Amino acid sequence: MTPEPVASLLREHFDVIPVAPGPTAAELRARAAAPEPASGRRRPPPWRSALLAVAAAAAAVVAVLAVAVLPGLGDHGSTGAAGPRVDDGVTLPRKLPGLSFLTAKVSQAPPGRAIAVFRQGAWGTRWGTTQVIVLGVDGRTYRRLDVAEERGNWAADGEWSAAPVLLAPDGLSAAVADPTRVTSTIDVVDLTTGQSHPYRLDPPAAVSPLAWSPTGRSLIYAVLDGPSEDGQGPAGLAVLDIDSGRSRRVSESLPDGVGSAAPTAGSKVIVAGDPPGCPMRVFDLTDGDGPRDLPAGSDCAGGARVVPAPADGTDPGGAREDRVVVEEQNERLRKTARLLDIADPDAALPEPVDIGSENWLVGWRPGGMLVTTSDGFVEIPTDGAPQRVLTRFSESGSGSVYDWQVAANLVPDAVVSRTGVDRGPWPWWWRITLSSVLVSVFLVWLIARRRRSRRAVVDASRMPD
Amino acid sequence: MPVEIVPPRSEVFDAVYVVHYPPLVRLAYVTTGSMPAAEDIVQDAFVEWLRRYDDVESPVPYLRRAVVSRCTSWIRRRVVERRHALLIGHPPAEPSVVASPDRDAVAVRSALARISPRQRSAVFLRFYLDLSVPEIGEALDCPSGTVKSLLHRAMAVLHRHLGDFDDA
Repeated sequence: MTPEPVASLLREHFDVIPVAPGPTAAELRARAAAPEPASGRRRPPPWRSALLAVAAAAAAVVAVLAVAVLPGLGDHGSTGAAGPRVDDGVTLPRKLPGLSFLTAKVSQAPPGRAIAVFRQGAWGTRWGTTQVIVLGVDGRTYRRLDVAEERGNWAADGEWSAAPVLLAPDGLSAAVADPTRVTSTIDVVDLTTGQSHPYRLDPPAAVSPLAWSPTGRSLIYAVLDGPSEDGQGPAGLAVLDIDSGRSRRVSESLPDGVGSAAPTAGSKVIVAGDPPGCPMRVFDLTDGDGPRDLPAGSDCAGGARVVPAPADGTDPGGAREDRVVVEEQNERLRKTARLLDIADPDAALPEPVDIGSENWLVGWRPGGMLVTTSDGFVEIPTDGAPQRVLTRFSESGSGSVYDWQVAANLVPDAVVSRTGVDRGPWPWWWRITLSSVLVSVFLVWLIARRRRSRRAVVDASRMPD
Repeated sequence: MPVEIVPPRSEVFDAVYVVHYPPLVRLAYVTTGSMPAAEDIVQDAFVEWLRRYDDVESPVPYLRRAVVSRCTSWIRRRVVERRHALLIGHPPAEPSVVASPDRDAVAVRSALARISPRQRSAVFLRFYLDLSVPEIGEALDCPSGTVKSLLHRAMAVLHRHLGDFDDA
């Protein structure tokens, strides 16, 4: 059948549909003039559908805003004023949480004063999952130290490795330097504001941060003869004065390199070689005298490493200016930690403490050595009592915790407590993703609802044959 | 509140009512399949026009759109009623049928029953009222592209069914 006959058929069909005479026009005018019936089914006002649409859109907007804003309640802004304060106490978490990709960055949501800095994850930072994490003194605030992650470099395994970090003993700042290439700055990140301050190196050099002075106003760092992936190799020693911004060279290149260094509360720096060497060398920062060697410990065949002693002299020997903590390894690879008094070799000091062979000396606090083990952050009492796990590292399979360091001046007063987790405001990529999902779900629901309604109308309203 | 109808207004209303009441009832009937419903819908549309007389610039397009819109609402209500009737065990109410013993009319009715109410409205507006695509779009409250799609799909079904009938 051609189109025209069909149209003609339709026209003829429509034309013969009988229409009974309706009410007169006058009757309709009367109906229009009469008040609308108050009873019966009320017709929805014409603005209701528009209002519903506006309400639905508003609900979607509110949902998106909720995603964008609510997690930001923990946002400390750029001032860090609301971050954890040391007045509220210093807390170490009983257990570290697993790795999370939703942890905010220090530059975006500063954590305030920190009790610890560590790395967590597997492989590198770019393709792997490794993050550099700052833990606030409240024991629950976690942030990614983005400056360190961004200043990293490609390692030999093809992975991105974050730059070395050194947490200041007062927990207020962290130094970031790069030994893998010649750079012109050392960055010091203010953890209360999230801002990074670059300190110029003249001339530019590959540098490795070694230790903060107990007051946190000087930074000891190694000036490598050339870039080194692991920070090893011949290097000299320099001190950066944070207040003036000037660096001073303490020694020229040492053939053994600089493995570790620890400034005393006075004006001296004790340096152990790299690989860990004994005897160690002492540099005086004030009188300019040449370095002198310290005699090796009685059990130092495997090398030595130095760690700053707490600034307030909380060791059993009382407050002394020229003390550091030394980790020594014997020929059986067993490690001991002991307090060393440079000024007074005859000072009465506690007996060395056995800290095991796989553990890593982190610091000292009254009554015990602080080390990291495979279990976590552990205190080994000096009186021979069993070791106590302070913070257990997560075993969730999300990657190991390593390079754990603590704020030396804060950790003696730290209490261990079961804490929550504050990772700060969600990253924007996650907010946008979640908002998109919410809006998509809403739109799919809306479309499905309309289609279902239309299909029901079509199915139920076929003209009878 | 009563609406005051002035003489010129009533004259316009009477003239439009006389001319357009029958085709609008046919439009509503073709769309809904129920003559009582079609009559109620069209009369309600005229009453509503009177109540909004000052706001309506073009009465006939307004009436077409009002009728189509009310037909859609009626069908939606009927869907709900049918579901309810099925739930409580009563058979659904059948729409009234205009008797058409003519063989062509039966075939056309059968073909029209195979397209959606909206497509029936579009076909009626196009082939009975000879409206243009934009005018149909105005009546159906949709873009011209949608009207073309509605007509194309409707005519495909009608041709297939009426073609079979013709062949038989």
